[in-house]
Amino acid sequence: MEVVKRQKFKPKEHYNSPGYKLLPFKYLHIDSTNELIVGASGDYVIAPIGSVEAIVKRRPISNEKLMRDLHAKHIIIDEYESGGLDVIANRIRTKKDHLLQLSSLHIFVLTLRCNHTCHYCQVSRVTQDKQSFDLKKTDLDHAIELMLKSPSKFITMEFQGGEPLLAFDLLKYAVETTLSLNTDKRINFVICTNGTIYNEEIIKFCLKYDILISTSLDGPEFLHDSNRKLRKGSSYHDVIAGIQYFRNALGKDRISALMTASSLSLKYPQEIINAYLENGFHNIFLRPISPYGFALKSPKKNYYETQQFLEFYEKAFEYILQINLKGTFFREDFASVILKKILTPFQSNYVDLQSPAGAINSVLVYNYDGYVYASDESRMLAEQNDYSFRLGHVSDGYKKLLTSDEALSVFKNSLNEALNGCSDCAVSDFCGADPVFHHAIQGDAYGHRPTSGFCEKNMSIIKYLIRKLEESTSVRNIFYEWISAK
Amino acid sequence: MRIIDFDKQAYKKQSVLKAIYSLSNIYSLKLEITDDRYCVFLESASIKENIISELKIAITTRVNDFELRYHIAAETKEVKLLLLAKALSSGGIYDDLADEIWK
Repeated sequence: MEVVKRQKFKPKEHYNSPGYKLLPFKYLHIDSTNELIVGASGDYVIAPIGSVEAIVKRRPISNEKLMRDLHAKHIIIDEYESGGLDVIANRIRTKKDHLLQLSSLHIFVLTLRCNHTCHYCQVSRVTQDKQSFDLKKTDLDHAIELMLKSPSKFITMEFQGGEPLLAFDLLKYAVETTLSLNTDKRINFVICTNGTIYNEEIIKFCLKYDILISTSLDGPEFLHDSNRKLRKGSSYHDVIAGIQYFRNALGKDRISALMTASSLSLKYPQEIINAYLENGFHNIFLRPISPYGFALKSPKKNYYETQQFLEFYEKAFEYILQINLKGTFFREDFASVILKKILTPFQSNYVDLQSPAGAINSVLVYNYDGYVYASDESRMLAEQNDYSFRLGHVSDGYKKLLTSDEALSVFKNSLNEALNGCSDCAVSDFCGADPVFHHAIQGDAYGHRPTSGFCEKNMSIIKYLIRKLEESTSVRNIFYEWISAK
Repeated sequence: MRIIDFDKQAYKKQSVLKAIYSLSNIYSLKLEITDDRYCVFLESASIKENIISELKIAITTRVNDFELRYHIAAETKEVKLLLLAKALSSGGIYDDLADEIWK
Protein backbone atom coordinates (compact mmCIF):
# COMPACT_ATOMS: atom_id res chain seq x y z
CA MET A 1 0.00 0.00 0.00
CA GLU A 2 1.30 3.44 -0.91
CA VAL A 3 1.68 5.87 1.94
CA VAL A 4 0.95 9.48 1.05
CA LYS A 5 3.02 11.93 3.03
CA ARG A 6 1.23 15.07 4.03
CA GLN A 7 3.24 18.27 3.97
CA LYS A 8 2.94 20.42 7.04
CA PHE A 9 4.76 23.31 5.46
CA LYS A 10 4.62 24.94 2.07
CA PRO A 11 7.43 23.96 -0.32
CA LYS A 12 10.69 25.90 -0.17
CA GLU A 13 10.11 27.53 -3.56
CA HIS A 14 7.06 29.22 -2.13
CA TYR A 15 9.22 31.50 -0.04
CA ASN A 16 11.60 32.36 -2.90
CA SER A 17 9.04 33.34 -5.52
CA PRO A 18 6.77 36.41 -5.67
CA GLY A 19 4.33 33.84 -4.34
CA TYR A 20 0.94 35.02 -5.50
CA LYS A 21 -1.64 34.55 -8.20
CA LEU A 22 -4.02 37.15 -9.46
CA LEU A 23 -7.69 36.89 -8.67
CA PRO A 24 -10.14 38.67 -10.99
CA PHE A 25 -9.99 42.39 -10.31
CA LYS A 26 -10.56 45.71 -12.03
CA TYR A 27 -8.95 49.10 -11.59
CA LEU A 28 -9.07 52.75 -12.55
CA HIS A 29 -7.20 55.94 -11.74
CA ILE A 30 -9.21 57.68 -9.07
CA ASP A 31 -7.12 60.88 -9.05
CA SER A 32 -3.72 62.01 -10.29
CA THR A 33 -1.76 59.90 -7.79
CA ASN A 34 -3.93 56.93 -6.81
CA GLU A 35 -5.68 54.01 -8.41
CA LEU A 36 -8.70 52.14 -7.19
CA ILE A 37 -8.42 48.34 -7.27
CA VAL A 38 -11.66 46.38 -6.83
CA GLY A 39 -11.71 42.63 -6.34
CA ALA A 40 -14.40 40.22 -7.49
CA SER A 41 -15.87 40.33 -3.98
CA GLY A 42 -16.48 44.08 -4.34
CA ASP A 43 -13.82 44.94 -1.73
CA TYR A 44 -11.49 47.72 -2.76
CA VAL A 45 -7.98 49.04 -2.15
CA ILE A 46 -6.61 52.50 -2.93
CA ALA A 47 -2.97 52.30 -4.04
CA PRO A 48 -0.40 54.55 -5.71
CA ILE A 49 -0.63 54.64 -9.51
CA GLY A 50 1.59 51.92 -10.94
CA SER A 51 0.68 49.32 -8.29
CA VAL A 52 -1.54 47.36 -10.69
CA GLU A 53 1.18 47.19 -13.32
CA ALA A 54 3.68 46.06 -10.68
CA ILE A 55 1.34 43.31 -9.46
CA VAL A 56 0.48 42.08 -12.92
CA LYS A 57 4.11 42.04 -14.03
CA ARG A 58 5.20 40.53 -10.69
CA ARG A 59 7.58 43.33 -9.88
CA PRO A 60 8.61 43.51 -6.23
CA ILE A 61 6.29 45.55 -4.02
CA SER A 62 7.99 46.87 -0.90
CA ASN A 63 4.84 48.27 0.69
CA GLU A 64 3.89 45.48 3.12
CA LYS A 65 0.61 47.07 4.10
CA LEU A 66 -0.47 47.21 0.47
CA MET A 67 0.40 43.54 0.02
CA ARG A 68 -1.58 42.61 3.13
CA ASP A 69 -4.54 44.66 1.90
CA LEU A 70 -4.42 43.04 -1.54
CA HIS A 71 -4.58 39.62 0.12
CA ALA A 72 -7.30 40.64 2.57
CA LYS A 73 -9.46 42.20 -0.12
CA HIS A 74 -9.22 39.09 -2.34
CA ILE A 75 -7.26 40.75 -5.13
CA ILE A 76 -4.29 38.40 -5.00
CA ILE A 77 -3.98 34.97 -3.47
CA ASP A 78 -1.04 32.83 -2.31
CA GLU A 79 0.39 30.77 -5.14
CA TYR A 80 -0.35 27.47 -3.42
CA GLU A 81 -3.74 28.34 -2.03
CA SER A 82 -7.18 27.89 -3.46
CA GLY A 83 -9.05 28.85 -0.29
CA GLY A 84 -10.97 32.09 -0.08
CA LEU A 85 -12.78 31.52 -3.34
CA ASP A 86 -15.84 30.21 -1.54
CA VAL A 87 -15.99 33.45 0.43
CA ILE A 88 -15.89 35.54 -2.77
CA ALA A 89 -18.46 33.29 -4.43
CA ASN A 90 -20.77 33.78 -1.47
CA ARG A 91 -20.34 37.54 -1.71
CA ILE A 92 -21.29 37.43 -5.40
CA ARG A 93 -24.32 35.33 -4.55
CA THR A 94 -25.42 37.78 -1.86
CA LYS A 95 -24.95 40.75 -4.19
CA LYS A 96 -27.26 39.15 -6.74
CA ASP A 97 -29.75 37.88 -4.20
CA HIS A 98 -32.38 40.41 -5.31
CA LEU A 99 -32.81 38.39 -8.51
CA LEU A 100 -34.72 35.83 -6.50
CA GLN A 101 -37.31 38.57 -5.91
CA LEU A 102 -38.06 39.21 -9.59
CA SER A 103 -40.35 42.22 -10.21
CA SER A 104 -41.10 43.23 -6.66
CA LEU A 105 -42.14 46.81 -7.52
CA HIS A 106 -45.42 47.11 -9.42
CA ILE A 107 -46.35 50.60 -10.59
CA PHE A 108 -50.00 51.28 -11.41
CA VAL A 109 -50.58 54.41 -13.48
CA LEU A 110 -54.21 54.90 -12.50
CA THR A 111 -54.73 58.09 -14.48
CA LEU A 112 -52.92 60.72 -16.50
CA ARG A 113 -55.16 63.43 -15.08
CA CYS A 114 -53.37 66.01 -12.95
CA ASN A 115 -54.05 69.36 -11.34
CA HIS A 116 -50.44 70.49 -11.94
CA THR A 117 -48.66 71.46 -15.14
CA CYS A 118 -45.02 70.97 -14.15
CA HIS A 119 -42.72 71.90 -17.03
CA TYR A 120 -40.42 68.93 -16.44
CA CYS A 121 -43.17 66.34 -15.97
CA GLN A 122 -41.97 63.16 -17.64
CA VAL A 123 -45.44 62.03 -18.49
CA SER A 124 -47.95 63.65 -20.76
CA ARG A 125 -50.50 64.97 -18.32
CA VAL A 126 -54.07 65.90 -19.18
CA THR A 127 -56.53 68.15 -17.43
CA GLN A 128 -58.56 66.88 -14.51
CA ASP A 129 -61.84 66.18 -16.26
CA LYS A 130 -60.75 63.81 -19.03
CA GLN A 131 -61.65 60.46 -17.52
CA SER A 132 -60.78 58.63 -20.70
CA PHE A 133 -57.22 58.81 -19.40
CA ASP A 134 -58.07 56.55 -16.43
CA LEU A 135 -57.13 52.87 -16.25
CA LYS A 136 -60.17 50.72 -17.05
CA LYS A 137 -61.39 48.44 -14.25
CA THR A 138 -61.09 45.34 -16.44
CA ASP A 139 -57.47 46.24 -17.21
CA LEU A 140 -56.83 46.93 -13.52
CA ASP A 141 -58.14 43.44 -12.67
CA HIS A 142 -55.75 41.87 -15.20
CA ALA A 143 -52.87 43.95 -13.84
CA ILE A 144 -53.55 42.86 -10.25
CA GLU A 145 -53.69 39.25 -11.41
CA LEU A 146 -50.29 39.69 -13.12
CA MET A 147 -48.78 41.30 -10.04
CA LEU A 148 -49.93 38.45 -7.82
CA LYS A 149 -48.35 35.95 -10.21
CA SER A 150 -44.95 37.58 -9.73
CA PRO A 151 -42.49 35.17 -8.04
CA SER A 152 -41.62 37.75 -5.40
CA LYS A 153 -43.02 37.16 -1.92
CA PHE A 154 -42.55 40.83 -1.01
CA ILE A 155 -44.37 43.27 -3.23
CA THR A 156 -44.68 47.03 -3.36
CA MET A 157 -47.81 48.24 -5.13
CA GLU A 158 -47.20 51.87 -6.09
CA PHE A 159 -49.87 54.19 -7.44
CA GLN A 160 -48.74 56.88 -9.85
CA GLY A 161 -50.22 59.27 -12.37
CA GLY A 162 -50.91 61.96 -13.34
CA GLU A 163 -52.23 62.43 -9.86
CA PRO A 164 -53.53 59.06 -8.60
CA LEU A 165 -55.69 60.66 -5.89
CA LEU A 166 -57.82 62.21 -8.65
CA ALA A 167 -58.86 58.60 -9.30
CA PHE A 168 -59.36 57.76 -5.63
CA ASP A 169 -62.29 55.38 -6.24
CA LEU A 170 -60.12 53.36 -8.58
CA LEU A 171 -57.27 53.39 -6.07
CA LYS A 172 -59.58 52.10 -3.32
CA TYR A 173 -60.82 49.36 -5.63
CA ALA A 174 -57.23 48.39 -6.50
CA VAL A 175 -56.11 48.06 -2.87
CA GLU A 176 -59.17 46.15 -1.71
CA THR A 177 -59.25 43.83 -4.71
CA THR A 178 -55.56 43.05 -4.25
CA LEU A 179 -56.00 42.22 -0.59
CA SER A 180 -59.03 40.05 -1.27
CA LEU A 181 -57.12 38.00 -3.90
CA ASN A 182 -53.75 37.80 -2.17
CA THR A 183 -52.94 34.53 -0.47
CA ASP A 184 -49.20 34.43 0.17
CA LYS A 185 -47.53 37.77 -0.43
CA ARG A 186 -46.57 40.61 1.85
CA ILE A 187 -47.73 43.79 0.13
CA ASN A 188 -46.78 47.40 0.83
CA PHE A 189 -48.84 50.21 -0.67
CA VAL A 190 -47.41 53.57 -1.76
CA ILE A 191 -49.26 56.55 -3.21
CA CYS A 192 -47.08 58.94 -5.24
CA THR A 193 -49.00 62.18 -5.00
CA ASN A 194 -48.25 65.85 -5.56
CA GLY A 195 -49.49 66.32 -1.99
CA THR A 196 -52.18 68.86 -2.77
CA ILE A 197 -55.19 66.53 -2.75
CA TYR A 198 -56.28 65.21 0.62
CA ASN A 199 -59.36 64.84 2.79
CA GLU A 200 -60.63 62.80 5.70
CA GLU A 201 -61.75 59.90 3.52
CA ILE A 202 -58.27 59.57 1.97
CA ILE A 203 -56.62 59.71 5.40
CA LYS A 204 -58.93 57.06 6.87
CA PHE A 205 -58.21 54.78 3.93
CA CYS A 206 -54.43 55.28 4.24
CA LEU A 207 -54.60 54.53 7.96
CA LYS A 208 -56.72 51.41 7.44
CA TYR A 209 -54.31 49.88 4.92
CA ASP A 210 -51.06 51.30 6.29
CA ILE A 211 -50.34 53.20 3.06
CA LEU A 212 -47.17 55.24 2.60
CA ILE A 213 -47.26 58.65 0.95
CA SER A 214 -44.53 59.85 -1.40
CA THR A 215 -44.72 63.46 -2.53
CA SER A 216 -42.68 66.07 -4.38
CA LEU A 217 -40.86 69.03 -2.86
CA ASP A 218 -38.42 70.85 -5.10
CA GLY A 219 -37.05 73.32 -2.57
CA PRO A 220 -38.03 76.76 -1.29
CA GLU A 221 -41.27 78.42 -2.39
CA PHE A 222 -39.92 80.44 -5.35
CA LEU A 223 -38.19 77.37 -6.79
CA HIS A 224 -40.93 74.83 -6.12
CA ASP A 225 -43.59 77.10 -7.60
CA SER A 226 -41.44 77.84 -10.62
CA ASN A 227 -41.02 74.11 -11.34
CA ARG A 228 -44.43 72.86 -10.25
CA LYS A 229 -47.33 74.94 -11.49
CA LEU A 230 -50.82 74.79 -10.10
CA ARG A 231 -53.59 76.31 -12.22
CA LYS A 232 -54.43 78.68 -9.38
CA GLY A 233 -52.40 79.57 -6.30
CA SER A 234 -49.12 78.28 -4.93
CA SER A 235 -48.27 74.59 -5.16
CA TYR A 236 -45.71 75.11 -2.38
CA HIS A 237 -48.33 76.36 0.10
CA ASP A 238 -50.65 73.48 -0.73
CA VAL A 239 -47.98 70.76 -0.57
CA ILE A 240 -46.53 72.00 2.74
CA ALA A 241 -50.05 72.03 4.19
CA GLY A 242 -50.59 68.56 2.71
CA ILE A 243 -47.36 67.19 4.19
CA GLN A 244 -48.42 68.52 7.61
CA TYR A 245 -51.91 67.08 7.24
CA PHE A 246 -50.60 63.62 6.28
CA ARG A 247 -47.96 63.70 9.04
CA ASN A 248 -50.47 64.61 11.73
CA ALA A 249 -52.82 61.86 10.67
CA LEU A 250 -50.49 59.05 9.59
CA GLY A 251 -47.26 59.70 11.52
CA LYS A 252 -44.12 61.57 10.58
CA ASP A 253 -42.34 58.59 9.04
CA ARG A 254 -45.24 57.72 6.74
CA ILE A 255 -44.56 60.54 4.26
CA SER A 256 -41.44 61.12 2.18
CA ALA A 257 -40.54 63.64 -0.50
CA LEU A 258 -38.59 63.65 -3.75
CA MET A 259 -36.98 66.60 -5.51
CA THR A 260 -36.26 67.03 -9.20
CA ALA A 261 -33.51 69.40 -10.29
CA SER A 262 -34.53 71.77 -13.08
CA SER A 263 -32.04 74.17 -14.69
CA LEU A 264 -33.08 76.78 -12.13
CA SER A 265 -32.56 74.35 -9.21
CA LEU A 266 -28.88 74.00 -10.08
CA LYS A 267 -28.26 77.53 -8.79
CA TYR A 268 -29.70 76.82 -5.35
CA PRO A 269 -28.19 73.70 -3.75
CA GLN A 270 -28.09 75.06 -0.19
CA GLU A 271 -31.53 76.66 -0.39
CA ILE A 272 -33.05 73.33 -1.46
CA ILE A 273 -31.48 71.49 1.46
CA ASN A 274 -32.54 74.22 3.88
CA ALA A 275 -36.13 73.89 2.63
CA TYR A 276 -36.05 70.16 3.40
CA LEU A 277 -34.60 70.78 6.87
CA GLU A 278 -37.10 73.55 7.64
CA ASN A 279 -39.96 71.26 6.69
CA GLY A 280 -38.82 68.49 9.01
CA PHE A 281 -37.20 66.05 6.56
CA HIS A 282 -34.06 64.11 7.47
CA ASN A 283 -33.15 63.06 3.97
CA ILE A 284 -33.14 64.22 0.35
CA PHE A 285 -32.69 62.47 -3.00
CA LEU A 286 -30.73 64.80 -5.31
CA ARG A 287 -32.27 63.76 -8.60
CA PRO A 288 -31.65 65.08 -12.12
CA ILE A 289 -34.44 65.45 -14.64
CA SER A 290 -35.15 62.33 -16.68
CA PRO A 291 -34.58 63.44 -20.27
CA TYR A 292 -37.85 61.97 -21.55
CA GLY A 293 -41.36 62.96 -22.47
CA PHE A 294 -42.66 66.42 -21.65
CA ALA A 295 -39.29 67.43 -20.21
CA LEU A 296 -37.92 67.73 -23.75
CA LYS A 297 -40.56 70.29 -24.68
CA SER A 298 -39.03 72.98 -22.46
CA PRO A 299 -35.29 72.61 -23.05
CA LYS A 300 -34.42 76.02 -21.61
CA LYS A 301 -35.94 75.10 -18.27
CA ASN A 302 -35.01 71.44 -18.25
CA TYR A 303 -31.88 70.74 -20.27
CA TYR A 304 -28.43 70.85 -18.73
CA GLU A 305 -25.16 69.01 -19.20
CA THR A 306 -24.32 66.14 -16.84
CA GLN A 307 -21.30 68.12 -15.67
CA GLN A 308 -23.56 70.96 -14.51
CA PHE A 309 -25.63 68.51 -12.46
CA LEU A 310 -22.44 67.05 -10.97
CA GLU A 311 -21.26 70.48 -9.86
CA PHE A 312 -24.65 71.05 -8.23
CA TYR A 313 -24.53 67.60 -6.60
CA GLU A 314 -21.08 68.17 -5.15
CA LYS A 315 -21.96 71.59 -3.72
CA ALA A 316 -25.14 70.20 -2.16
CA PHE A 317 -23.33 67.14 -0.84
CA GLU A 318 -20.55 69.16 0.82
CA TYR A 319 -23.24 71.26 2.51
CA ILE A 320 -25.02 68.10 3.69
CA LEU A 321 -21.76 66.78 5.14
CA GLN A 322 -21.26 70.03 7.06
CA ILE A 323 -24.77 69.68 8.52
CA ASN A 324 -23.99 66.13 9.62
CA LEU A 325 -20.57 67.08 11.01
CA LYS A 326 -22.32 69.68 13.19
CA GLY A 327 -24.43 66.89 14.69
CA THR A 328 -27.68 66.87 12.67
CA PHE A 329 -28.56 63.64 10.88
CA PHE A 330 -29.43 64.44 7.26
CA ARG A 331 -28.94 61.85 4.53
CA GLU A 332 -28.47 62.07 0.76
CA ASP A 333 -30.34 59.06 -0.58
CA PHE A 334 -28.58 58.49 -3.91
CA ALA A 335 -25.22 58.42 -2.11
CA SER A 336 -26.70 55.98 0.42
CA VAL A 337 -27.70 53.60 -2.39
CA ILE A 338 -24.11 53.59 -3.69
CA LEU A 339 -22.51 53.47 -0.23
CA LYS A 340 -24.56 50.41 0.65
CA LYS A 341 -23.12 48.70 -2.42
CA ILE A 342 -19.57 49.78 -1.52
CA LEU A 343 -19.64 49.09 2.21
CA THR A 344 -21.86 46.01 2.49
CA PRO A 345 -22.41 42.80 0.49
CA PHE A 346 -26.02 43.83 -0.04
CA GLN A 347 -27.87 45.62 -2.83
CA SER A 348 -30.32 48.45 -2.44
CA ASN A 349 -33.92 48.23 -3.62
CA TYR A 350 -33.36 51.30 -5.81
CA VAL A 351 -34.29 50.03 -9.29
CA ASP A 352 -32.34 52.56 -11.38
CA LEU A 353 -28.91 51.32 -10.30
CA GLN A 354 -28.93 47.56 -10.59
CA SER A 355 -27.32 44.87 -12.72
CA PRO A 356 -29.25 43.19 -14.25
CA ALA A 357 -31.07 46.48 -14.82
CA GLY A 358 -34.11 47.18 -12.66
CA ALA A 359 -36.40 47.35 -15.71
CA ILE A 360 -38.57 44.19 -15.62
CA ASN A 361 -36.14 42.47 -13.23
CA SER A 362 -37.30 44.63 -10.36
CA VAL A 363 -40.20 46.68 -11.70
CA LEU A 364 -43.22 46.40 -13.98
CA VAL A 365 -45.47 49.30 -14.95
CA TYR A 366 -49.18 48.96 -15.74
CA ASN A 367 -50.10 52.05 -17.71
CA TYR A 368 -53.48 53.82 -17.82
CA ASP A 369 -53.97 52.50 -21.38
CA GLY A 370 -53.80 48.87 -20.26
CA TYR A 371 -50.30 48.22 -21.58
CA VAL A 372 -47.39 46.86 -19.55
CA TYR A 373 -44.03 48.61 -19.65
CA ALA A 374 -40.53 47.63 -18.56
CA SER A 375 -40.09 50.69 -16.37
CA ASP A 376 -41.47 54.11 -15.55
CA GLU A 377 -39.13 55.67 -18.15
CA SER A 378 -40.40 53.18 -20.76
CA ARG A 379 -43.94 54.52 -20.48
CA MET A 380 -42.58 58.07 -20.77
CA LEU A 381 -41.01 57.10 -24.09
CA ALA A 382 -44.36 55.72 -25.20
CA GLU A 383 -45.85 59.19 -24.74
CA GLN A 384 -43.45 60.21 -27.53
CA ASN A 385 -44.72 57.28 -29.66
CA ASP A 386 -41.67 55.12 -28.93
CA TYR A 387 -43.02 51.70 -27.93
CA SER A 388 -39.67 49.87 -27.75
CA PHE A 389 -40.24 48.79 -24.15
CA ARG A 390 -43.97 48.10 -24.26
CA LEU A 391 -44.10 44.42 -23.33
CA GLY A 392 -47.72 43.87 -24.28
CA HIS A 393 -51.24 44.23 -22.93
CA VAL A 394 -52.26 43.32 -19.37
CA SER A 395 -54.53 40.64 -20.83
CA ASP A 396 -51.58 38.88 -22.54
CA GLY A 397 -50.52 36.94 -19.44
CA TYR A 398 -47.30 36.85 -17.45
CA LYS A 399 -45.36 34.38 -19.60
CA LYS A 400 -46.08 36.09 -22.90
CA LEU A 401 -45.16 39.52 -21.52
CA LEU A 402 -41.90 38.38 -19.98
CA THR A 403 -40.76 36.50 -23.08
CA SER A 404 -41.77 39.20 -25.57
CA ASP A 405 -39.14 40.56 -27.98
CA GLU A 406 -39.26 43.85 -26.08
CA ALA A 407 -38.53 42.09 -22.78
CA LEU A 408 -35.69 40.08 -24.31
CA SER A 409 -34.17 43.29 -25.66
CA VAL A 410 -34.10 44.65 -22.10
CA PHE A 411 -32.57 41.46 -20.67
CA LYS A 412 -29.93 41.33 -23.42
CA ASN A 413 -28.63 44.79 -22.58
CA SER A 414 -29.12 44.83 -18.86
CA LEU A 415 -26.08 43.10 -17.39
CA ASN A 416 -23.17 45.47 -16.85
CA GLU A 417 -20.88 42.51 -16.25
CA ALA A 418 -21.26 41.85 -19.99
CA LEU A 419 -21.45 45.36 -21.46
CA ASN A 420 -18.41 46.90 -23.08
CA GLY A 421 -17.10 49.77 -21.06
CA CYS A 422 -18.80 48.32 -17.96
CA SER A 423 -17.39 44.79 -17.93
CA ASP A 424 -13.90 45.96 -17.00
CA CYS A 425 -14.89 49.16 -15.22
CA ALA A 426 -13.62 49.16 -11.63
CA VAL A 427 -16.81 50.68 -10.22
CA SER A 428 -19.33 48.53 -12.09
CA ASP A 429 -20.12 46.58 -8.89
CA PHE A 430 -21.37 49.83 -7.38
CA CYS A 431 -23.25 50.92 -10.50
CA GLY A 432 -25.93 49.46 -12.74
CA ALA A 433 -27.16 49.16 -16.30
CA ASP A 434 -29.90 51.18 -17.97
CA PRO A 435 -30.91 50.00 -21.46
CA VAL A 436 -33.95 52.31 -21.51
CA PHE A 437 -31.84 55.41 -20.88
CA HIS A 438 -29.31 54.45 -23.54
CA HIS A 439 -32.03 53.68 -26.04
CA ALA A 440 -33.64 57.08 -25.36
CA ILE A 441 -30.44 59.12 -25.44
CA GLN A 442 -28.10 57.19 -27.74
CA GLY A 443 -30.59 55.34 -29.90
CA ASP A 444 -29.05 52.02 -28.84
CA ALA A 445 -30.12 50.05 -25.75
CA TYR A 446 -26.59 48.57 -25.54
CA GLY A 447 -25.11 52.06 -25.12
CA HIS A 448 -21.70 53.59 -25.69
CA ARG A 449 -20.12 54.25 -22.31
CA PRO A 450 -17.53 56.95 -23.16
CA THR A 451 -20.30 59.27 -24.33
CA SER A 452 -23.01 58.14 -21.89
CA GLY A 453 -24.48 60.65 -19.41
CA PHE A 454 -25.56 57.71 -17.22
CA CYS A 455 -21.96 56.51 -17.04
CA GLU A 456 -20.51 60.00 -16.54
CA LYS A 457 -22.89 60.83 -13.69
CA ASN A 458 -22.61 57.55 -11.84
CA MET A 459 -18.86 57.09 -12.24
CA SER A 460 -18.20 60.64 -11.07
CA ILE A 461 -20.39 60.27 -7.99
CA ILE A 462 -18.99 56.84 -7.11
CA LYS A 463 -15.39 58.07 -7.44
CA TYR A 464 -16.28 61.16 -5.40
CA LEU A 465 -17.82 59.03 -2.62
CA ILE A 466 -14.81 56.72 -2.51
CA ARG A 467 -12.51 59.74 -2.16
CA LYS A 468 -14.77 61.00 0.64
CA LEU A 469 -14.65 57.60 2.36
CA GLU A 470 -10.86 57.83 2.43
CA GLU A 471 -10.86 61.47 3.50
CA SER A 472 -11.64 61.19 7.22
CA THR A 473 -12.97 58.84 9.86
CA SER A 474 -15.76 61.25 10.77
CA VAL A 475 -17.10 61.29 7.19
CA ARG A 476 -16.82 57.51 7.04
CA ASN A 477 -18.81 57.28 10.30
CA ILE A 478 -21.52 59.53 8.84
CA PHE A 479 -21.76 57.23 5.81
CA TYR A 480 -22.13 54.17 8.05
CA GLU A 481 -24.89 55.96 9.95
CA TRP A 482 -26.71 56.70 6.69
CA ILE A 483 -26.69 53.12 5.47
CA SER A 484 -27.67 51.77 8.88
CA ALA A 485 -30.66 54.10 9.31
CA LYS A 486 -34.08 53.12 8.02
CA MET B 1 -12.16 39.10 -43.29
CA ARG B 2 -13.61 41.77 -41.02
CA ILE B 3 -12.99 45.47 -41.51
CA ILE B 4 -13.22 48.04 -38.74
CA ASP B 5 -13.45 51.53 -40.10
CA PHE B 6 -12.46 54.64 -38.13
CA ASP B 7 -13.09 58.24 -39.06
CA LYS B 8 -9.81 60.15 -38.76
CA GLN B 9 -11.63 63.21 -37.48
CA ALA B 10 -13.04 61.28 -34.55
CA TYR B 11 -9.95 59.45 -33.37
CA LYS B 12 -6.40 60.57 -32.77
CA LYS B 13 -3.86 58.70 -34.86
CA GLN B 14 -1.68 57.88 -31.85
CA SER B 15 -4.62 56.33 -30.01
CA VAL B 16 -5.62 54.22 -32.99
CA LEU B 17 -2.11 52.95 -33.49
CA LYS B 18 -1.64 52.10 -29.81
CA ALA B 19 -4.93 50.25 -29.61
CA ILE B 20 -4.24 48.37 -32.80
CA TYR B 21 -0.79 47.44 -31.53
CA SER B 22 -2.41 46.04 -28.37
CA LEU B 23 -4.99 44.17 -30.35
CA SER B 24 -2.36 42.68 -32.64
CA ASN B 25 -1.21 40.56 -29.70
CA ILE B 26 -4.57 38.85 -29.78
CA TYR B 27 -5.68 38.96 -33.41
CA SER B 28 -3.96 38.86 -36.74
CA LEU B 29 -4.62 42.17 -38.43
CA LYS B 30 -3.32 44.85 -40.78
CA LEU B 31 -3.89 48.57 -41.00
CA GLU B 32 -4.49 50.80 -44.01
CA ILE B 33 -4.56 54.57 -43.76
CA THR B 34 -6.37 56.68 -46.33
CA ASP B 35 -6.89 60.45 -46.42
CA ASP B 36 -9.79 60.45 -44.03
CA ARG B 37 -10.04 56.96 -42.55
CA TYR B 38 -8.16 54.22 -40.74
CA CYS B 39 -9.17 50.73 -41.82
CA VAL B 40 -8.25 47.74 -39.72
CA PHE B 41 -8.45 44.39 -41.49
CA LEU B 42 -8.96 41.42 -39.20
CA GLU B 43 -8.34 38.01 -40.67
CA SER B 44 -10.91 36.34 -38.49
CA ALA B 45 -14.36 37.07 -39.83
CA SER B 46 -15.90 35.64 -36.69
CA ILE B 47 -14.51 38.30 -34.39
CA LYS B 48 -17.23 39.21 -31.95
CA GLU B 49 -19.00 42.52 -32.08
CA ASN B 50 -18.08 43.19 -28.46
CA ILE B 51 -14.35 43.09 -29.22
CA ILE B 52 -14.83 45.75 -31.86
CA SER B 53 -16.88 47.83 -29.48
CA GLU B 54 -14.21 47.33 -26.82
CA LEU B 55 -11.55 48.50 -29.23
CA LYS B 56 -13.52 51.62 -30.03
CA ILE B 57 -13.98 52.38 -26.35
CA ALA B 58 -10.28 51.79 -25.73
CA ILE B 59 -9.40 54.26 -28.45
CA THR B 60 -11.81 56.85 -27.13
CA THR B 61 -10.97 56.70 -23.47
CA ARG B 62 -8.29 54.56 -22.04
CA VAL B 63 -5.91 53.19 -24.59
CA ASN B 64 -2.95 53.11 -22.19
CA ASP B 65 -4.65 50.57 -19.97
CA PHE B 66 -5.98 48.41 -22.78
CA GLU B 67 -3.18 45.85 -22.81
CA LEU B 68 -2.93 45.60 -19.02
CA ARG B 69 -6.66 44.97 -18.71
CA TYR B 70 -6.51 42.20 -21.27
CA HIS B 71 -3.60 40.68 -19.38
CA ILE B 72 -5.58 40.61 -16.11
CA ALA B 73 -8.63 39.22 -17.89
CA ALA B 74 -6.59 36.44 -19.55
CA GLU B 75 -4.75 35.45 -16.36
CA THR B 76 -7.86 35.36 -14.19
CA LYS B 77 -10.33 33.96 -16.71
CA GLU B 78 -10.47 30.48 -15.17
CA VAL B 79 -10.85 31.77 -11.62
CA LYS B 80 -13.60 34.08 -12.79
CA LEU B 81 -15.47 31.15 -14.31
CA LEU B 82 -14.89 29.13 -11.17
CA LEU B 83 -16.24 31.95 -9.01
CA LEU B 84 -19.29 32.25 -11.20
CA ALA B 85 -19.89 28.53 -11.00
CA LYS B 86 -19.47 28.61 -7.24
CA ALA B 87 -21.72 31.65 -6.88
CA LEU B 88 -24.43 29.92 -8.87
CA SER B 89 -23.85 26.63 -7.13
CA SER B 90 -26.42 25.19 -4.84
CA GLY B 91 -25.30 21.62 -5.38
CA GLY B 92 -25.51 19.40 -8.42
CA ILE B 93 -24.46 20.48 -11.87
CA TYR B 94 -22.66 23.67 -10.89
CA ASP B 95 -20.47 21.86 -8.36
CA ASP B 96 -19.35 19.58 -11.15
CA LEU B 97 -18.67 22.58 -13.32
CA ALA B 98 -16.63 24.20 -10.55
CA ASP B 99 -14.54 21.04 -10.13
CA GLU B 100 -14.03 20.81 -13.87
CA ILE B 101 -12.78 24.38 -14.15
CA TRP B 102 -10.45 24.10 -11.18
CA LYS B 103 -8.70 20.97 -12.45
